[in-house]
Amino acid sequence: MKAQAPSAYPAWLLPSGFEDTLPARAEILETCRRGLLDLYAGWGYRQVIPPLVEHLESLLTGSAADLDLQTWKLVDQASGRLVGLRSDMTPQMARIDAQISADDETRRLCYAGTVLRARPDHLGGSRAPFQVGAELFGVAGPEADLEVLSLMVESLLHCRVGDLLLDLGHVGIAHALADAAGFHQDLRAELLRLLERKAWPDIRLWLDSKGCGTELMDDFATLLRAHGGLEVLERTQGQLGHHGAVRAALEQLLFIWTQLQQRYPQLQLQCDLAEVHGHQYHTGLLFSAYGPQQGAALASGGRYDGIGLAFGGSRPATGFSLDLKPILPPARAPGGVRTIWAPGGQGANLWQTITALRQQGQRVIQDFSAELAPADPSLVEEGYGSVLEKSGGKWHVRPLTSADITIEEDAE
Amino acid sequence: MNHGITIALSKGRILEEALPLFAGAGIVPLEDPDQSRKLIIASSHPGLRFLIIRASDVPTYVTWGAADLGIAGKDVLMEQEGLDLYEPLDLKIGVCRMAVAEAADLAAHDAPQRWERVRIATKYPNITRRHFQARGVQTEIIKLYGSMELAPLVGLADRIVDLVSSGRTLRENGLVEVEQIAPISSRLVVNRAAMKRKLRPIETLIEALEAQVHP
Repeated sequence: MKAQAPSAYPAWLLPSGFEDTLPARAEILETCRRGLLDLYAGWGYRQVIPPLVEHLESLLTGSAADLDLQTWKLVDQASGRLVGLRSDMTPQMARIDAQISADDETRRLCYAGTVLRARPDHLGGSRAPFQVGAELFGVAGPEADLEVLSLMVESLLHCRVGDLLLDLGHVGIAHALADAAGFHQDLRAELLRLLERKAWPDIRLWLDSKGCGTELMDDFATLLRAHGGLEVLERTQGQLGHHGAVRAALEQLLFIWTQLQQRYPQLQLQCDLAEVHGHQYHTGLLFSAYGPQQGAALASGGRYDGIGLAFGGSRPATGFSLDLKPILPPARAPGGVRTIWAPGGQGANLWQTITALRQQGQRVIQDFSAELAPADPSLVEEGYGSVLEKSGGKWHVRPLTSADITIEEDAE
Repeated sequence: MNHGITIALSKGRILEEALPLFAGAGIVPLEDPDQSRKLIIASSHPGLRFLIIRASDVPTYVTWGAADLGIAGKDVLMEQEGLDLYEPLDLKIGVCRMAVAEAADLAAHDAPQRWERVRIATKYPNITRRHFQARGVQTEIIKLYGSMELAPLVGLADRIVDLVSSGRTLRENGLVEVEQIAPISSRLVVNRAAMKRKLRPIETLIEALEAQVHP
């Protein structure tokens, strides 16, 4: 046999940005995933499972075109067409909704699955986030936004994220000012990119170079400073209220703010009216949640009316999503299900006893190498909570710390 | 949660010019960063501390949230792609420009608008690539870590892209500036989540520094 040439990469190496989720975390992730889907079901959101791969046009259609750089692409060898691996499940939901819903139908959908990012969202971020989210189609009013926003808060509370800060914004405000200044298409995209960085010195130069008047310049300066508590919404109403679209957006924000405060008095609320970051396809209200530690938002969402147009239905849409992996709660202290050690061999009734225990929800591991239990301390060290052993012709589960439990006869 | 504010700074010109701005805002490091070997330096303001790191590491610390704020040259911010930061304030310090330079004897009969293909030595390959891409000029980029001015003199490259301040280093090496790419100055950068979670203290700090820049 020829000696193998040494490879530059060890065989165990994963591509950058990917990771294994090992048992301890996988169990928590699965518990959270189930818990969240149950939560959404209770609110009437029904789960859909879209494919991992779609034709590129469908993934990137319409307002989702900014996802282009984020999307892994490959050629479908069956058709020769370019396909993409989903980098965000929201556009898939819009496609599904447009296909299955009538124009005036209200539809609530939710989903949970891995998405793939050609580039991580932020420095050192994962390229395979586990995306969980919910979307509400067919309702245009702020009540719909309030519902998904509340569901986002519930999701984070379910995952035991404490000390939450909710940041509210409205992309309509920046758009209203851009409209007033006559910036459309490419110019507007350039402006939004500058707004993402809150780079006021650069924005001022840019506006200047585009011949923006003093009054609008001041309005943009006001927008950049509109960051803080409820007083900011009220102040901005006075300063920018002469733009009709800004007034309408602020009224929506005030409604949401008041309602959220009543629903979640413990929640810290903040508004940032110039925030457009990470909201590539949104058209209205925006929201992000921040936890105490992470350097990035934990969950975010907003309104994205009209994204389904390309699929035949321009519908009101609002929703949120989050990456489950960074917000997984720490493992609960052991004490729930403890493993029972069972001997190997084919002893009389052994199989039936083990099966009965497993049906009761117990976790039983059979040690093929021993018919007699090793000493208690070594079992405790290996994480076992009790031992299945025979005494008086019957199988007993003996807890490794306290008194015996006799198996009921009818368990067999 | 930690309510303190951490500011990343780099030694050298930025530190020298930034400290007076902070001093004007009533914030003084408790030790001289130039003398001390400490990497974390407390300040006269309780709950506000400085990290002393390399200039090109400042955006990394701030993007990750290891520092809430930082001061970074626009050159560093332009060169590092995929940064995810707020840049709310131009501190008007470390002022210079990013420019293309070439040997004086080449410049005597050269016309930048007719360039078709250039070989550029630079510490800033991304800025160089983007600049020439936008101009429709093919570029071969030779990445160097210092003393760019040497490259055209020994035939390693025909032009360089580098920071130009007074232009003295260029002149002393027989080079002339032929094209400006961007004006450069130092920016205050802020981590996105910190801006949200520590809005009040960060806003106060930005306003205090702004008052120093535009008195």
